[in-house]
Amino acid sequence: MKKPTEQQFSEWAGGIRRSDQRAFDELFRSFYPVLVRFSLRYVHNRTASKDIVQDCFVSLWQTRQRIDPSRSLKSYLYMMVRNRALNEIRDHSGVDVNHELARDQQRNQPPEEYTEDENESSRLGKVMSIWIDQLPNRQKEAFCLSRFDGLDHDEIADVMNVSPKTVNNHIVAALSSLRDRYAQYEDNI
Amino acid sequence: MADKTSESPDKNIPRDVLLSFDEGERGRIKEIWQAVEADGLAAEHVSTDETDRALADLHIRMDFKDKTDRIAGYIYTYGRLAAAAVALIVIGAAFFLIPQSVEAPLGEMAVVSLPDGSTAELNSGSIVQFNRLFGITNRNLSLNGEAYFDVETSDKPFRVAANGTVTEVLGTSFNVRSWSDHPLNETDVAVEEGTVKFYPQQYALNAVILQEKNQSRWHTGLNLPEDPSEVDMERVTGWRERKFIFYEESLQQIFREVERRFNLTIELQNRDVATETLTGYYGEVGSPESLLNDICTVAGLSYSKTANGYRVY
Repeated sequence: MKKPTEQQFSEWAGGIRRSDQRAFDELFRSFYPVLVRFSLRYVHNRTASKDIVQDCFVSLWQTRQRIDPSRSLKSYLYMMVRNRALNEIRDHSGVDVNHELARDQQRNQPPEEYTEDENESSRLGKVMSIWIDQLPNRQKEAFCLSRFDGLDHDEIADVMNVSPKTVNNHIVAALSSLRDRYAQYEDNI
Repeated sequence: MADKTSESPDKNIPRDVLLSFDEGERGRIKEIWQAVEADGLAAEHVSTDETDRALADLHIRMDFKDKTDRIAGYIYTYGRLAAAAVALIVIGAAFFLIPQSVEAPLGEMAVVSLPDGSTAELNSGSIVQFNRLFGITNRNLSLNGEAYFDVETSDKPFRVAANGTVTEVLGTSFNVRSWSDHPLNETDVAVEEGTVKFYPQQYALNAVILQEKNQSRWHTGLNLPEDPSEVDMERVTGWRERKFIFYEESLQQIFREVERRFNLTIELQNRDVATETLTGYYGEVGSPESLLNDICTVAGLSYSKTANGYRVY
């Protein structure tokens, strides 16, 4: 799906402030899948992620009069989802232990496990995602928001509540460590 | 940001990041940036269908009801065009363009004789609107609710606009159900006699043609109405004999229908069950209570009386 533009976001923000259900529905349709995928990066559970995003939209509507037109609605939504996802992890950290274990096992599987018919580039892609998953949390967050969500430094700074400079540092650190692991990987082949 | 990287964020590495690396390293870093596949992390797919369902649930959860009269469509667009014309010509002409509406009050039904000789039977709480030139220059009307139309044959097409759809005929009888408070703006059309053309307002080319005993449906998110399929007309038009017939209908919609038909309020406290569906046939319904009793038994719910209706939990 095509990504909505900044202008679309500010039109939606204006519409929702005026209690325009249609604007709200449009925003939901185009942005719900993005936010569910975003939430899945924190909460590795589809149902929980959907609930989180659903709650964010409910709260957006309930507080629509207080939407700040000068702020980016996009970052605001990312921020809401992130906060809720982090709360969810905090509140239910015990619940998903098994799930986490399963995931750890999965991601520690060596690349050799992959079947031979895969070509080199898709294999590299898979290995890369394992490495990304193992980055320190903040680095991983900033890197993914930049690479996969296409947010700029200012927006990521808003979402993560840090300065744009810090965002840049996180991404640079992430790329440096990916570079090192890639070099190792190449040596081993 | 006026950063040129924002044009295709998936492809380009942000400039600030790239500049943080030594010049000799930049090629390598770019390569890594590209090699990262959205794959493992972003591969989880969320379908349009899932999104639509989530939105419908959200509407139910927030109890969105239409506060505005969202009888959209022809009259509205026509009215806007007309506004410009009226400014130029005579103000008196406006009289002809002011929509007339006819409504079946809650708890009752109504039969409307239209100026062209056609009739519309309205289910409780339904409303049709048309302008004063109906039957003279056009046969366009808007519907919010459910109606059974018996249309006089004429060379002017008879059009029903409802929830972003148009049902178009020359002469025939058919049923349209299209409540503006439906979470997905669903519109159901079923044909008793003759042939009907049915299409979403925005994609007039995506029409389906319905023959006798055919039905089709459109809801928000579909480009094309569903393929025509055979339908039992008695099930569709049972409401005309005051029967209650539900076919895989959500509890939310069933309770709305009960509210309208008996002019009462049903408070569904357990909103989680609102999306559950039910099929049922009730020929003669003496009181709302006997109907509620049945539905609640089947759905495993309880109810109690309130000042203006019932509470279901």
